[in-house]
Amino acid sequence: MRITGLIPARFLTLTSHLVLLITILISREENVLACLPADYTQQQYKTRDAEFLGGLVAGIALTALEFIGFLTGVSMFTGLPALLSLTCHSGASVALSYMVVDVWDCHLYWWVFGLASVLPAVVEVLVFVNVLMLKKNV
Amino acid sequence: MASKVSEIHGNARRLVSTTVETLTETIFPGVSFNQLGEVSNGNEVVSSLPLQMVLYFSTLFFPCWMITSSVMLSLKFAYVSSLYQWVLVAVHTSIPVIEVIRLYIGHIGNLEEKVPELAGSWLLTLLLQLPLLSFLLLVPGTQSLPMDYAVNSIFLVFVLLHLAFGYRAIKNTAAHQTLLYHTSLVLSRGHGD
Repeated sequence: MRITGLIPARFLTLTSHLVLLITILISREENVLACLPADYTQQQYKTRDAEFLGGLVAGIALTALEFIGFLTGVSMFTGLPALLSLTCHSGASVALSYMVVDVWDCHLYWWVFGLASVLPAVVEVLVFVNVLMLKKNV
Repeated sequence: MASKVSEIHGNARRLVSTTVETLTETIFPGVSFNQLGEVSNGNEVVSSLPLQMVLYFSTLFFPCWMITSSVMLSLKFAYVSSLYQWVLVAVHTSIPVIEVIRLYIGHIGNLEEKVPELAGSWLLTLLLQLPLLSFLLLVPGTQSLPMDYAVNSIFLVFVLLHLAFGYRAIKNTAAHQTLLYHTSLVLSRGHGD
């Protein structure tokens, strides 16, 4: 099975997810306002903003983890984990684009985070364990 | 008498050559013959893998940068001042042209181990892409949108990585080529005698 076509695709979907996370990080105000009631206090705004910020930074950190694993070659040539990462990150890119353009609730971000940031990162850590400790190279 | 003159000549020549060699080693370190063997044996490939990866992923990222930047530029064009309209169009025209040249000769230089191409690509990166990208990121008059910041930062990261790995690649390739040249001189002289 030829794997080498997956490498550009995985790199581009990882990068697009990262770009969208950074974009939302810089322009998160409208999303936070969308999940507050109409008569919100400054305190509520601050807590929601801090939660959203934490989620975004965690998403960026997990994406950076996957990037490091991918670029150092540990998980560059695996078949199924790469395909899983590819689908998760492209789904996340579409969802985050909707989040920016349609001004989604900041609650919905946690669904995107769970399915499309945590899942590939967990698989990535398992691949790390496989390659580095159990020495099961592809 | 003649032998003494030739002895003085020999001493003078040795003095000049050792002085020149010490000077050259201090100004251009790593060029003298006995230091060249540290890099390669002369019979191995010295293309740099990190540099090749940076160039490959830069080539993949460049169309995304182009499309994103053009869309953002067309969206904000009406809202920037007229000076910056000219400046932004100039920058967004020159960056793709320079990028294509830089990536192409960087690929050629790294895969065929040619120092002029590697050095040309490194200089293009240092002197043209780095200032242009820093301008796009840091100058507030360009009214950078959040997505602008994101894609320009990733592009800048690739440029910085190219500078770091390219410098090492140029040093290694130049030392390797010098070693090959010296070896070919010695071998040809041996055959000629």
